Amino acid sequence: MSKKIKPAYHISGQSHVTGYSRFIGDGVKHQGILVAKMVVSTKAHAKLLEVDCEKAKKIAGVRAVLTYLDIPGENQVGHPVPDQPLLAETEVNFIGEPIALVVAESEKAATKALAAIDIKYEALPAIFSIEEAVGRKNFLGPCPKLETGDVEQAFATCDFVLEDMVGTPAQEHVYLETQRCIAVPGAEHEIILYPASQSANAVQEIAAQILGWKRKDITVDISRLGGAFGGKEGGITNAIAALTALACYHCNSSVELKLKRYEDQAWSGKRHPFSAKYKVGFNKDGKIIAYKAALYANGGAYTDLTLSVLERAVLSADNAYYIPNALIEGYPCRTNLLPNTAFRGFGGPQGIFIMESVIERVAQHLQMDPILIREVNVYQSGQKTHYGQIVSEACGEDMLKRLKTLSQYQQLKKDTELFNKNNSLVKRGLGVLLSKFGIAFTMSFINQASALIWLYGDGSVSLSHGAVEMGQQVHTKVAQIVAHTLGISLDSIRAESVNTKRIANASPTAASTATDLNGNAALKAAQELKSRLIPVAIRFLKKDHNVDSTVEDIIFLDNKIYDKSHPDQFITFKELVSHAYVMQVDLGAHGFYKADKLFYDRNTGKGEPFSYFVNGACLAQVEIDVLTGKTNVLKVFIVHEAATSINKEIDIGQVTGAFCQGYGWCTMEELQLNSEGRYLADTMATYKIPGIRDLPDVFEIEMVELKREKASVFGSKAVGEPPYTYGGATYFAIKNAILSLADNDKDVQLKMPATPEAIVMAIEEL
Amino acid sequence: MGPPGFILLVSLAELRLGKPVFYFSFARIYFERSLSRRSVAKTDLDHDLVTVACEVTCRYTRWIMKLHSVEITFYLNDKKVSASVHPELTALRLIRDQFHLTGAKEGCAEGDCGACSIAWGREVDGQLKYVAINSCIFPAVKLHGTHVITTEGLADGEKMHFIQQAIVENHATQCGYCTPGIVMSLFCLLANNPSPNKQEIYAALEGNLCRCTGYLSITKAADAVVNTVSKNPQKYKELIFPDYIKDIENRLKDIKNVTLKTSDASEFDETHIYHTPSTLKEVFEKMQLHEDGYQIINGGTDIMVQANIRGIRHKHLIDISKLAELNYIKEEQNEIKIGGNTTYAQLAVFAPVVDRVSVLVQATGMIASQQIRNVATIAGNIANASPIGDMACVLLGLNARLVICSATSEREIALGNFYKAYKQIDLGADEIIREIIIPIPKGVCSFEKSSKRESLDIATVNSLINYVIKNKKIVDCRIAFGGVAPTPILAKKAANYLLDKELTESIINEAAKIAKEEFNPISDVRGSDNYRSLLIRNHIIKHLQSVL
Repeated sequence: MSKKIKPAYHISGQSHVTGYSRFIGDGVKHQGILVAKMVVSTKAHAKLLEVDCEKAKKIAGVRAVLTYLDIPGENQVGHPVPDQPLLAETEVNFIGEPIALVVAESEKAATKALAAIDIKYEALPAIFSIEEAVGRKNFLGPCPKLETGDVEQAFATCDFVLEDMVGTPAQEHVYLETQRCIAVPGAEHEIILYPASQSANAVQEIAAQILGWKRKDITVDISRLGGAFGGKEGGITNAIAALTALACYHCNSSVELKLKRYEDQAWSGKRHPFSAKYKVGFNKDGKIIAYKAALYANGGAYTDLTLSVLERAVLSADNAYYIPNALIEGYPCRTNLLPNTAFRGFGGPQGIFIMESVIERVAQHLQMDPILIREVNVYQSGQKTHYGQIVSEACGEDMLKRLKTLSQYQQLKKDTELFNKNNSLVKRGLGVLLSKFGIAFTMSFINQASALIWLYGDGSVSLSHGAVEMGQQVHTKVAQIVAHTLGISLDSIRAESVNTKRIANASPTAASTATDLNGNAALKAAQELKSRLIPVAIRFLKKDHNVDSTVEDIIFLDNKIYDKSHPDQFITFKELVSHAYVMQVDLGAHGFYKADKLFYDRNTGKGEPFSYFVNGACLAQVEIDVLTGKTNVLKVFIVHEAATSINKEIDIGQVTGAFCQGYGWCTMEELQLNSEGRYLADTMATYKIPGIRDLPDVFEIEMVELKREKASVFGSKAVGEPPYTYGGATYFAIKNAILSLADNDKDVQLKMPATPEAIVMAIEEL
Repeated sequence: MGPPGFILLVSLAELRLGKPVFYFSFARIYFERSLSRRSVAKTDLDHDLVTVACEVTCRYTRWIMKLHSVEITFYLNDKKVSASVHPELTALRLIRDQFHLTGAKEGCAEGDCGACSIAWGREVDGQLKYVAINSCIFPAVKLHGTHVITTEGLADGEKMHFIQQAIVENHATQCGYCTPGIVMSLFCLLANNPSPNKQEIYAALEGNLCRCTGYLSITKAADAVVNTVSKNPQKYKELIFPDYIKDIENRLKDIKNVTLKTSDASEFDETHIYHTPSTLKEVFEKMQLHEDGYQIINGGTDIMVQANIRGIRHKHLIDISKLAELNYIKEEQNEIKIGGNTTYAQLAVFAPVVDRVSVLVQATGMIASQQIRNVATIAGNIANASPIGDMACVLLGLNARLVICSATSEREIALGNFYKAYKQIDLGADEIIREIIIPIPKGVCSFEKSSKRESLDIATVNSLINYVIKNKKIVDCRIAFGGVAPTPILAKKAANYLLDKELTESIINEAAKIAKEEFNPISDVRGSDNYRSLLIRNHIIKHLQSVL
């Protein structure tokens, strides 16, 4: 077997560009498929006095109007914490909370019915801010506390102690394909669901629970998603799937529930806004001795994934730095916002951004280069995190060194200073972000996956595993692993949908772990098949070519199987499989993989929750218009620890895409709330994500390919989430550009996201 | 004979007569109810009757629908297709639901993401020309007699089109949802411009959002495409256009002159009618006939968004895009005169505008996206009465005038007098904007737009300043703002203050202060009142600072 996996294009690339990739609902619809529409709360907190559906039920074409009374099983959609009803019973707790479901023969009839439903509310006091929730001790669950060393004692020894606050905003996912699900009645006491979900398992579990059915009676099938980014893992995704199943159950017909963009943005959970209070003690050389921080996450009305998001935030609070004395607390605040949910990075970006803000603050206070402060504090191998995991193969310092070289930092810094000296109405700034991102689900036991491979008589291959394809190209990577192992070409493999009948109990496609877990499972299955095929190969090489071979010497390459010393005397993979079939060899294999060394004790806040870390650094140079706040990102340099990429081009695509989302979070994606708790920007006309003109003029990426002991399948490292944090560099660059207008050690209050408005207001307040 | 039998007989009688005698809606309601409940059918006979009556009703429905639908014929990729379309139907739904080409996607239903982009080809000045449009906000009716290319129509069997191939080879597709739209935007760019530069590529793709790639790979794919063309200039047409396009021009001629069949018969008028008059006279007739509820439509980029997002429907849509009388752009006596049908894209390439009113080109480039600029008209934008429209601000600053006409009269009005209050304009129910007259400005002109995102975003505040300096002193000055008041508005005090003054830093600052105090802007999703006030001040400084 050659060592290097062959490069590959997107396994669905051709069907994507030619328009033949089918997304949910793209196929020809079942005759008479019904349309379902959600009726949601328009109040952030209220008693439900009356939900009158009678008029709506009488509208022509309306098949059913369902409320919680129509739920045969348990009215529960909370996952993993069961605290959220699918349909509100007596009280609503956020704007957008589902109350009823209209099922009709046409969209028109459904829309008419929506207008005919009469809901009477009695308003109750609602809270939206972290401050209000903290004031009332309104928390969604236990508050984690992670401690190492003795902060209070250490503060007393430090040259300087600073206290400050940092806030990070909400963010809307804007997957281009909105939330949706199609339910189809199966052959016999079965419902088949086609949800836009990152977790077939969760959908199956919740739909079964809602209907009071066994999980075996619900089949979930997911081909591909038009983007997800965490937004199709939790709350509303499960609710939509469960509601569609409920409609299918009552009407005994296929049903489609598809959100309009404005419904999706108004009703779906966001990235958790965080606020942090911190106290940092450091010496005049920039070394941080003690760090105390309280991280508050605005979780919204129900738990959803808030506890896990907060957990990752507090575990990421050290970011890339060894801090001998640290006390990190987390508070999952309950408010009357939409339940916030997973979003690329899952609390990690918040924890990391807060720490990077601290670093910048320290640098500014000491009037030292921010990279130097990072270098002074960065982890060295063997040092322990605040939760007790030993950092091995530390490479933060190396990343910074590479970043400085790549960006010609010293020169760039000089140029920037010179530019600022010569220009008063346009200012430039540099911003750096160093990141260390832990990989694994922190709920350790779900670090498991399975795969199922079938070989067909013609040598083609059916490959199933538990990872949902949503653009990250996990299907390409896992297929590459299988193709490589069996020595076959990628086009002989069919990357199958995720289906609960083929792959049960699959963990959500999340936490950047999909390739690590599923790739390893598929590797095992492929190796198992290979080991069964080798004896067949030995026999037929002898028979057909009179070549004597051994298990060790058999090569599978380029659809051929041969002895390594006789590469010209081969049998094809197709021939081998058909021989094996005749010889009654089992041509299907199941592979199971688990990362079973990981653990994390929530009571002590100690453990080894991560398989490894992904390191990287980013430097951005921006130019701001002092009068209008308009920002141009001039240059971006990224150094990313790729280890041994399975597919370098895919990984670069993940890095640029993640950076761009992070950049959007930091500079333009704004979700203001009105006094009723409604997000003002609930369409794409008002909520702005980066467009092509926002691409930096210079965008250079160095993928650092280092051989790593601690890595995953074929020496690769996860790539989905870690680079999201790099976008933060743009925020610091903008802040530094503004600071160039201010007196030396004066700090500037720059709201996040650093929109033109935030910039103009910050400059005005200088 | 129970009620079902009775209805059946009446229905059959009506069908025979070819004219509904029995009031249709009653029958419909009756049957819809009876069918959903099935309680009417007490006997087998009743049941059968209900079934037959249902069939009759269905035919009826179709027949009635036809009255309100329009029969259109167009070319979809390499095929001639026909469809009976409802006025509210978008091109996207038609292509996806009826012709099962699902490459084009709905991402936002308001022209803000580009996932629905398709190439729309029609004869312009004797040549077949393709432009990218947002099919999610494009009335399907307008496809009649034209050619649509979707990404499915670019590949040649298993062989990808070279644009598609470049996207795959540069890893410029991830989830794939935006990809067909990106392919079509690139196709339309290359179809009109064999060697686009970076800015032109950005302009073509700024209306296509991608949440996965971060765009780097997409620009690489675009570069690869441009490279391929530049290496094979003689093969340009072959590379870009699918084979079947050769015939399309001729084939379109066959259907071009088939007039649309729409019936005005509307005694059951619950639905809506799409009118496609070809003369102003006809337009005024329709307006008069349906004065209780009509809406003029052209590119539809605003009307269709209102329909999609806010459910606003109009009983009668009167499409004026076929009016040759409104389809012109000319220069006369130092004035640019543009007909009511002129689109942004047309304005931006008109030579006298390019040469002498570059601020219009600049502003046009900052408006919406290429897909919108291709079909949206300037008159439509003005009639929409938004206080923040970029073009309204620019034209107000340039002291443009409107020629407004009705069936019997014509009048000219300064744009400044046209806007009366928030969303209120001086345009009678019997009038339309026939022409916009833009005096070619003297002196210095500059336009500034502040928005959250550089492209495809509505301004928080926009402004245009036009002034003439003689002997170092300002002798003429006009400042227009958008987003600071209920209408686009002139900063008269600031402009007056500047008259007869020599521009110095303190004069500029004072003018800025005066302008800031002239308005009390509001807070909304695009910016707070304070921020807007600061922008008023800072825009003035920015406009004038360059003189120092």
